[in-house]
Amino acid sequence: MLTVAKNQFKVSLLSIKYNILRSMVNKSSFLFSVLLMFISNASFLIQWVVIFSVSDGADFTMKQVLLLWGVIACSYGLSNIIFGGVHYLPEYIINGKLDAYLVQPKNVLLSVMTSHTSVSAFGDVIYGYVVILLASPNLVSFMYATLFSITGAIIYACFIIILYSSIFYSINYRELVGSLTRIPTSFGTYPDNIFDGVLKILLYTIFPIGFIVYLPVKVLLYNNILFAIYIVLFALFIVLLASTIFYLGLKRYSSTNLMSARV
Amino acid sequence: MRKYFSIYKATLLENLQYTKGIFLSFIGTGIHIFIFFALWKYLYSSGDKEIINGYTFVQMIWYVTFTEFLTHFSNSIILRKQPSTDISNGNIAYVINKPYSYTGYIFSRFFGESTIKLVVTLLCSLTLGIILIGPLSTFSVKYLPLIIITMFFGVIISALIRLIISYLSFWVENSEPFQWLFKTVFLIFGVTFPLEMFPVWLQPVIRYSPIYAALSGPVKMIVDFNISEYLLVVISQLFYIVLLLAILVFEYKKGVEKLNVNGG
Repeated sequence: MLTVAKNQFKVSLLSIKYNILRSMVNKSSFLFSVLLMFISNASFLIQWVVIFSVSDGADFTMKQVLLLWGVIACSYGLSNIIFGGVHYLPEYIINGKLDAYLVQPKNVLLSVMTSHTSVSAFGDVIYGYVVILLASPNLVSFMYATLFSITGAIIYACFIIILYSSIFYSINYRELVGSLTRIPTSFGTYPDNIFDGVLKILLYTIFPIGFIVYLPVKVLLYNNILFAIYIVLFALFIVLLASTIFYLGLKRYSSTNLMSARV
Repeated sequence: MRKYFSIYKATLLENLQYTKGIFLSFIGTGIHIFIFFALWKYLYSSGDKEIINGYTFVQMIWYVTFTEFLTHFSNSIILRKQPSTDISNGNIAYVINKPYSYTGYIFSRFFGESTIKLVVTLLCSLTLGIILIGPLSTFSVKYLPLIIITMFFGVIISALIRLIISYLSFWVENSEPFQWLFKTVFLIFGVTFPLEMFPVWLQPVIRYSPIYAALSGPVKMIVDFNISEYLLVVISQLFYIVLLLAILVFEYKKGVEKLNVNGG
């Protein structure tokens, strides 16, 4: 059992490594994408300068906003580097491309998750760390940032898997779930102070943005270890949930006669 | 023109099959409008203000609703990805030999797609705006024909910029990063805030930029119509349409020349 897990881990690491190497084949294009993503993210600070200029009684701070952007950028970026394949699930399910993963003696979900890497995601991660260290320049923040990048990446990827698994049941859900996948990045770049009522409950439950970004920011601000434990436990829970939902859906998967191989 | 009308009609019919998809694609835009609603609600209530820089809360939400509506429009895959894909996979070599202009072909397809998108997105935006904030008392129906003209020009400007960026694929492997930057700049300086929210020293720069001509200017006419301001907006729109068309034609010509050198 342990050997199987070890082998699977090795294969996944190799897959990620080759994805990254492939994305770096054209070095100038790679660096250009990373740089423009960094600039694009950084431009949003202007938005917050304007917001702060018109907000007299607001109870959020620039430090909180910087940490929000840092944590969401790291989580989203790392997820798209390591688990970039989750965004291809609709294509795999609808066009029968899962066949290539099903015939391999490897974990199907993990193989799918690690099948792609987004080039621009490196720009997100770099930006995330720069912003976190600007807001809170110390070793503890760096370590927390690394931990929450990993948990955030896992939670975000699992959220996408849960949404896209609905396509196993009906292809008609594609557009709807495609729109819902944007929720973490849309809400996660604004402080939770501005949301209230049922929405705030949803952001900590059905849409797990609270565990991807809001609670990690609270830990970075107030060094609350209990929240850090909640986040890690939630990450473990959503891994089990996403895996169960995916494999339940996989039972309904219909193969096609598409001939393809994954070498 | 008949051939372009045929392309327009074919795309329109093609898109009629995907009305449900267009409706669902509005969810993302709806989420953004809702977030801005929550943000402005918080900012108006936390400062206990009725007006911020000349805008009431109702005007602000309708401003964001319509700037999001216009942005959703220009965020077309036909403008953003089709030229880049055609150029990078070499398909452009076959398309440019056909008896129509490639730019005209792309625009005909864009308008074919936009017709359905206009109806669906406008209905969704109006419904969401009414639910969130209620009717806009400063809006007057008698100015509607004039507003439609300036909104149309705004869409043309955004579309031209999108296409100019896509044609950069003649020179760079991936023009998509420029599209991100364009989206971000438009979002910050056009969608989220009206001109009056920015520092005084920055306002003239934004006022004479294509962002104001494409987004802020036309939408400002919806929330607070003013005939002298309207004329200034339309003049700047016509200026940018001519300028961007000239850039597009020049860029395409140079791009095709480069393509021929490379063998297509």
